[in-house]
Amino acid sequence: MSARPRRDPHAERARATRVGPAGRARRILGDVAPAAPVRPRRDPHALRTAAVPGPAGRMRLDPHGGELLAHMPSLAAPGAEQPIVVERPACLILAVLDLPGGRLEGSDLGLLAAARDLADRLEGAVLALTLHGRPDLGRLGVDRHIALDLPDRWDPAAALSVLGTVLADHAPAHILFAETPLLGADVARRLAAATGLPAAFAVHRLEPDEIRARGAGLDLVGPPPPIMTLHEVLLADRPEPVLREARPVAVAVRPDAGLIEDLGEVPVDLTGAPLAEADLIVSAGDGVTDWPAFHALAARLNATVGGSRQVCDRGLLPRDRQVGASGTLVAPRAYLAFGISGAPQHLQGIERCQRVVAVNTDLHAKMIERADLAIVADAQAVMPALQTLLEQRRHG
Amino acid sequence: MAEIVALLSAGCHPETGRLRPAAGDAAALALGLALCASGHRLIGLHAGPADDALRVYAGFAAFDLVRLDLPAEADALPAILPWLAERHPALVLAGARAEQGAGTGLLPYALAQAMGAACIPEVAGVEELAERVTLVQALPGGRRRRLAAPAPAVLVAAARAAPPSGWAYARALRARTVPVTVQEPAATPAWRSEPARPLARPVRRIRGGAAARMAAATSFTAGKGQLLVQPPPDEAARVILAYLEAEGLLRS
Amino acid sequence: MGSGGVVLLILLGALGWALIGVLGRVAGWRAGRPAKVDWLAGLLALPRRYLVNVHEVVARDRYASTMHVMAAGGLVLALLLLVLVHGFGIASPWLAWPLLLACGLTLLGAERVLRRRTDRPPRLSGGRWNRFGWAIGGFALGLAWFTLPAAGVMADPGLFHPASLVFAALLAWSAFELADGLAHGPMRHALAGALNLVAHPRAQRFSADRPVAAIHPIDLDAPKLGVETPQDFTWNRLVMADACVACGRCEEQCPAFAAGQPLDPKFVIRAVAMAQAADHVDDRHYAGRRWPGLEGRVGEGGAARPLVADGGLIPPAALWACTTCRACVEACPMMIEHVDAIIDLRRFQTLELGAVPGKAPAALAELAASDNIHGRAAARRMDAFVDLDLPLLREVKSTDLLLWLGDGAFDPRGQCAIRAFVQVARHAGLELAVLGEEELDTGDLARRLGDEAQFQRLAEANIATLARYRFRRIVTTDPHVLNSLRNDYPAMGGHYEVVHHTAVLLELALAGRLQFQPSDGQGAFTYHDPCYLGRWNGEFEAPRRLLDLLGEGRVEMARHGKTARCCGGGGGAPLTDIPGPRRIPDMRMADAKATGADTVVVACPNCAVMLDGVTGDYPAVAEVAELVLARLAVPAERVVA
Repeated sequence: MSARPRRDPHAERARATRVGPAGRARRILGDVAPAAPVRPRRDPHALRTAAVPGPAGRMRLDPHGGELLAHMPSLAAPGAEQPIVVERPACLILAVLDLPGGRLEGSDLGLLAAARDLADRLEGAVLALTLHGRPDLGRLGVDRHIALDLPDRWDPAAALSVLGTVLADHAPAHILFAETPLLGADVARRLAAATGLPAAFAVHRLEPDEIRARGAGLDLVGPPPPIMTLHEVLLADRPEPVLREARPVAVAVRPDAGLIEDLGEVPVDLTGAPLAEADLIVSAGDGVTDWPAFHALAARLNATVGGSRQVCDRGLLPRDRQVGASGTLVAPRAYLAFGISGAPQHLQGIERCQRVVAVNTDLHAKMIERADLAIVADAQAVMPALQTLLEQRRHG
Repeated sequence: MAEIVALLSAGCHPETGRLRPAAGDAAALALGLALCASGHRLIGLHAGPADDALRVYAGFAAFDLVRLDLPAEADALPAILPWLAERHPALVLAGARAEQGAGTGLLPYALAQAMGAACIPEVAGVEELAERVTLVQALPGGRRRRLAAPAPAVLVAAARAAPPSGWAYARALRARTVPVTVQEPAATPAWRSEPARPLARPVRRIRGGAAARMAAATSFTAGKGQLLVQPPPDEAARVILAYLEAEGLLRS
Repeated sequence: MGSGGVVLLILLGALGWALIGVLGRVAGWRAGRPAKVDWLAGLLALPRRYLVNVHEVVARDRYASTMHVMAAGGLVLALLLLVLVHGFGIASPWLAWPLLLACGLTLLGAERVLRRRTDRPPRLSGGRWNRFGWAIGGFALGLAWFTLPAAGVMADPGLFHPASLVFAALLAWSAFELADGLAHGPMRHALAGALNLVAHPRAQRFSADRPVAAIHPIDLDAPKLGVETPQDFTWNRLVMADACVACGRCEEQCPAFAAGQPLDPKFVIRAVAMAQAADHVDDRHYAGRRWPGLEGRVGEGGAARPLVADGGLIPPAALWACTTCRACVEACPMMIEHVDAIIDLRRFQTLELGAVPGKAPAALAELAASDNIHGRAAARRMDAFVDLDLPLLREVKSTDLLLWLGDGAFDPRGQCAIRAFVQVARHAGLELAVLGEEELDTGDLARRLGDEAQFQRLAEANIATLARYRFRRIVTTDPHVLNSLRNDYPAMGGHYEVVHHTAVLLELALAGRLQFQPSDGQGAFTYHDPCYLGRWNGEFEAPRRLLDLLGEGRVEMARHGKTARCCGGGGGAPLTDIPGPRRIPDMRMADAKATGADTVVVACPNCAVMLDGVTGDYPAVAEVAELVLARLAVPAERVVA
């Protein structure tokens, strides 16, 4: 921030204006005291230089509010920071994290932010429960943390028995889940059915005195019940990166054997799966000429095949493979675009992709600009290299 | 052969509010019809005041239709439970959420709890039904997982599963339902309900007032995008692979 | 015994044989459902229908028409004289010589028949048809030999003269070939064809000045809806199938056949003819071209077996590839109604089996729940036109011209056309009103997809709505709506005067209410006839005259007017989406490109979408009303919106 005083023309004009007896405003010219700066002037250039790009990184305008900037530990004061400790909370808010595959997902962060918010307003503490791992939740607004290392498989009965113990030991006022299929949504309903506690699902407005849950074409409104799952509109939020205690809490568990037996994942060929539900898409555009290599790579990655409109128009891929505004709007976790320049309709179609990897020969292609990992190279060279590397990984 | 009950609720078109087969229940019916083809008996069960809601499902195939006579707003669970207890079906199939009313998706779980049966969500297909039921569950991203549970079990059809094909007017027209009179359950304390309005786009909340919002709107994030210009193919492949691996997307 | 006696013997024998066969065939027809037929009117109209309506189609192929006049004319004449000469034994040269001349004429015709067979175009069926010329020729030759004595050319050589024996054998073979063919072979077309003209299920098509193209409604309370087996057709439609001469003019015109989709209108009709005669039959002896893409397929059927099935005579895909463009019907010299048959078959598939492919079931489900195939709320139909302030009929109660928005209101392309028409109409001082959210889908698509139940529901609802208001005419930019309201609604009790917007625009232009800028003389138009405006409703002229008033050069595609090729957008074909090696709109755009025109003018929202979707270097696609708006003498932006 620069120290240059900031002029506030609105304030100056207000001071120089007097209202006459007839109610008419008139401006006084001349001697008006200069106003004190309202707040320091913001220098966007300084900000820009502060956000130093990494060695291979690029700067980008982030409409979501500089998420990474805020979370970068280096920006917080090193070492000296003392965690906030809540010794006697008025109540406990239990947040049951999904942690799919042992990783903290966006929905988990959103859940913690909502739990923190509710806890702050009730002067309570956030108790986080992670069943399949021990991530560091210190900067995610967590006061207490129950971490378990249950085997990483889908076992709702085990989750339910742990929850039963936690409920008995800690009596949380509210139990929050994310409304994620097979994860939070499933466990929350099981808990509601097993305990008979009042529950609200797909809560999209969460206040200490009133919540709104999305029903079928209507909203259910009432005081917050013990069990709640949060609608995705609440899960985009992130907790403030303030250091909290995240005190480990031990819990004695003997997970019951459930009725459901997991017989393992069924191998499915995903290359021709519906694009809308794919979570890994390899997509081809005009820049792809080596189609056997493209299809081999897709098969090797077991990724769903997509394509640009041009490619589908020419019959190189079937029509149902078209990604874009006039084809399918896709939302995979990762989108690998080979030889796609990025027509506006195509970019619309991939708006909701979490990560975009683009391989294209044109440095100035829109796709390269959009990509999170952009590689300016010929797709025909990269695809076989990727294939070889994948083969090596499998054998080595 | 075993008896299967598909719970069929009155659907509701999202734009016009008119009656139609509920998407989730139709998917559940598709699971049931597939089992029907291998010799099991399928009963479509609806709890509600009129036959019309059941008739829209009857167009998909010929199967038995039973309607528990209940007012539209009544809780279906207390009516369904004794009926199911009497019939002992091997499987109960349901959709994920109703298209009218609260639509909490809790009913199959509550039903399973009361029956002492397993409740399995996101079911994409049933492979085998005898003493145990073997089924395939849909996972995110189009993947599948095989599960087994003892019968009876409550299965919730996958939200993205295809509805049955072949809706025919004549079948719906000629369908006959069996009405069953049931005792009306006591009214449960209900939530206040209001018409749903479209939700705002999910956004991250910016804390700390207008200045923070301004800062957020104009801030730059570094290091999020990565650019490699004319790297050797091996190098490019390595970077891509590392990237996918970090995302947990390498399945082989 | 004189040699003339043997003729009588052979002919009586053949007649008997024919009678047995024909009675069997008639029994097959009688197994069909009953139909209401005005016999007297049909019989009285027969000569006119034959000489005018049939001739008009036959004469499009000069060779075939001459061939038919000679062979058929000669044969009929010869048969009449034969009765006198040989039947009653009147050996007068005054009768014998004309008989000889008739035989000669038949021989010339038979030569033409055979000549066409030696270099047979693929559209013609082979098999027994290949022997047909020989049979006619042999009959004429044998008859001539035994008539020579009566003509006084030579003395009767006696039956046991070697030449007489040869000719007797020839006559016997040919007479029995023809007689047998009356029930089971090529000659059947004469009998069934004549009966078809008398008892035609769509008799109005012969008298009306424009096509009467209503699709017949069915009783939804009937025990079986639609047609499953040949016996489910009404009997006169079975006769109609038997009238087919396997000339293949329909398959030559069929856009789906040309696109390589597994539809051959000729095979559909032949399959009905084939199946109705026997308990069990397969199509291995079928001598025409096979279903495209399914060449190795063997279908089985019978009079009481399903026609459409995976192993049936008609593959399900054939049914759903049809765009209902009516090009086959227009081309048929035997006045066969292929599209009616396909709709009848579709009705069973849709209403009884629910076996509709592709995206069509979803569209029909949306139609059931929201009265339009897009699943939009009724009020959304007006979304694109809020700024036009179109008066709602609900508020103004009466109007001169009611604008029916149709399905185009949900499609950007259709919206442009509607807006353009409203702007031009207002510029010319024409007041329009709309039904707004009271307007439902006309049910046209549902009817063509075989969902008669939804059609009737929607038609009844629309008719009830329209009954509440007063209006003189309904105008629409959508020929499908036009056809539905004009031709399909009367049977449901709705009688309206319906005009296409091109007709209204022409009226305005001719009345001097539209002034156009002078043409810059660049570029030419080619006009693509929408099937439902052209073939279905006979309106070919209004759009063309309108374009000519705009003063641009107009060129015609090789196939235009009555033989125009479909855009591929009719009959629900884009929804059922039967795959083929080529796409129908691509072929149509290639037609347009071949004319050298730089703009294809369309007059239907479906055509606009289909042709606009073709990528590549092709002429631009423009809607008539948009062109008119752009060429108004007042700059377009000053036209009151």
